[in-house]
Amino acid sequence: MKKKIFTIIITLVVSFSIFASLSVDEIVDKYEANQKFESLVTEAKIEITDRLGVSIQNVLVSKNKVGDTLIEITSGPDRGQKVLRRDESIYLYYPDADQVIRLQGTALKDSFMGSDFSYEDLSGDDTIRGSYDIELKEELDSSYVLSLTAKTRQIAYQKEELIIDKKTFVCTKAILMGTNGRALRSMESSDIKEINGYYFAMKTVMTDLLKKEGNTVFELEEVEVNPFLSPSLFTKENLSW
Amino acid sequence: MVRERKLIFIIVLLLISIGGGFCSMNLSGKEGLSLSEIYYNGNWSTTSDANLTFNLDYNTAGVKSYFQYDLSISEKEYEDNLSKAYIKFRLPFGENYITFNAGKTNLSWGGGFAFNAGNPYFNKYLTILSAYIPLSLNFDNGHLIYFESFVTPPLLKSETFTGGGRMIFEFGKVLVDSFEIGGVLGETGDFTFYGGLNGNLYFDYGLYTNFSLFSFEDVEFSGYVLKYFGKFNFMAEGNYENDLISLILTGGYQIGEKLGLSCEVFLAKVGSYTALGLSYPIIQGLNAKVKLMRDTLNNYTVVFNLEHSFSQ
Repeated sequence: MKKKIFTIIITLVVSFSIFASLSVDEIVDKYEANQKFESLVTEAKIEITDRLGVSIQNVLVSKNKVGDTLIEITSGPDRGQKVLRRDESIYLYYPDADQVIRLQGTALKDSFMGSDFSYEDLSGDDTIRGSYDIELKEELDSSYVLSLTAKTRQIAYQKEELIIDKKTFVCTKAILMGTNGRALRSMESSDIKEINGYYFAMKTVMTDLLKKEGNTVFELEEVEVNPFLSPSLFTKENLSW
Repeated sequence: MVRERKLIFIIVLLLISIGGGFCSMNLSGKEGLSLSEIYYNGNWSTTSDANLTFNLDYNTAGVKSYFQYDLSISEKEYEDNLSKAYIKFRLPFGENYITFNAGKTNLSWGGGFAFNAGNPYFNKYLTILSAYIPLSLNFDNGHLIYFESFVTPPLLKSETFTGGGRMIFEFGKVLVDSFEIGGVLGETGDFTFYGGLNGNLYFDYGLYTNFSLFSFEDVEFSGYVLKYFGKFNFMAEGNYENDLISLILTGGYQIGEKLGLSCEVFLAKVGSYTALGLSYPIIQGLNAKVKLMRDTLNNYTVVFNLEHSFSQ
């Protein structure tokens, strides 16, 4: 009899631990664990659709563990241009002028090469815990809905709503908002693949909600997790190479 | 002239050979057409011109070559210019690289759009041999120090021998991003000192100076402040040289998704003007611009411009 009761208790405990909801901290831990790399190099196609038609650019994005990011445009109308993000500074390199221009702060919210993505969206540290107060707004069958409020006014998006997939802990949908809660951009990710133990959304559609029409599709073509990246890659000297 | 053509030919051949032929090089460029209506001394006149820029480049981890040819045609003259034809090599040096540059290019020192006292050859193209050497690198603290030296061997008739160098201290801080100090030794032995400072103090800023060590009268200062406020951007640039102060204020505003409005005010003792401009992308890669300028003598200029860029 004792054995039976013990078995029932164990079964209940195990079942409870499997089906119990995760706390906000646990969800964020798993979400951030999927984004913590020593380094990451991706090749991607950016398809920008607007009133003038469709333009396609290819980019090579290199990122280190602290969020320093180098974006090189490898084909398309802006080929040769480079963007370096270090901390809160952005350095733009224009090959025609052989000149590096430094932008600080507010430029992070500006459009990246006319796309629906901002510099902030494509660069920097992707973790959220340090920058936002986070609440679990809702738990759906297959996802968690997180509500984020920026801790300081320097953060590019003051509020965010993220839908995190329960299985992969990838953000499948995000609404990015300004100070007054007005939605600025919406993002939807799909085609999730596992690469070297990390889950990546191979296709992301970003829509600038302040524009009347159009969107930008960001499709990952190659992903390399934790390759060796020389620190010199993220220097101004390398920008003009 | 023959010597110059020969040099160009050799450089082009070298570029092609390094690139493994045209098939592995990238081609890009711009074509532009301008029509200007000028109201001067009570009379209207019209001028027009066209320009074309071709770029060929080849880029690997260790070698970069770049070739730029400019062609300009107006009603009265035709001008062509090989503005850039250079090759860069870089060799591993610890976790960084030493970079060598040979060929015709511009010296990218200092900063600024209209003025740059930090660059003795601002907006000029020279035949340069240069080396860019990392001296001290502490990436964790953002402290980087580089040394760049250059000489301009007088390969072309129009060029004379000069040389110089600069030290670049990158602090990676918001208030002071980088500091530069250096100088240029001219053909006659005169030495021009140069210094520069970049950072952010609410506005992004750059301050530059150069002066002759033997004559403090030849002093030049320039500086700019720049700020983006979302759809609105503002920039002020100033320059002091030969007891003359010049100032340019520019502002840009994006109306709707595509239409850009710009305003420019130039103030100087020798003459001032104000300008208003509109720009609009008609289709992908094709931009239309209109600019209206008025100077202090009540002369007007209206410039219509179409510019197309391409890349393969």
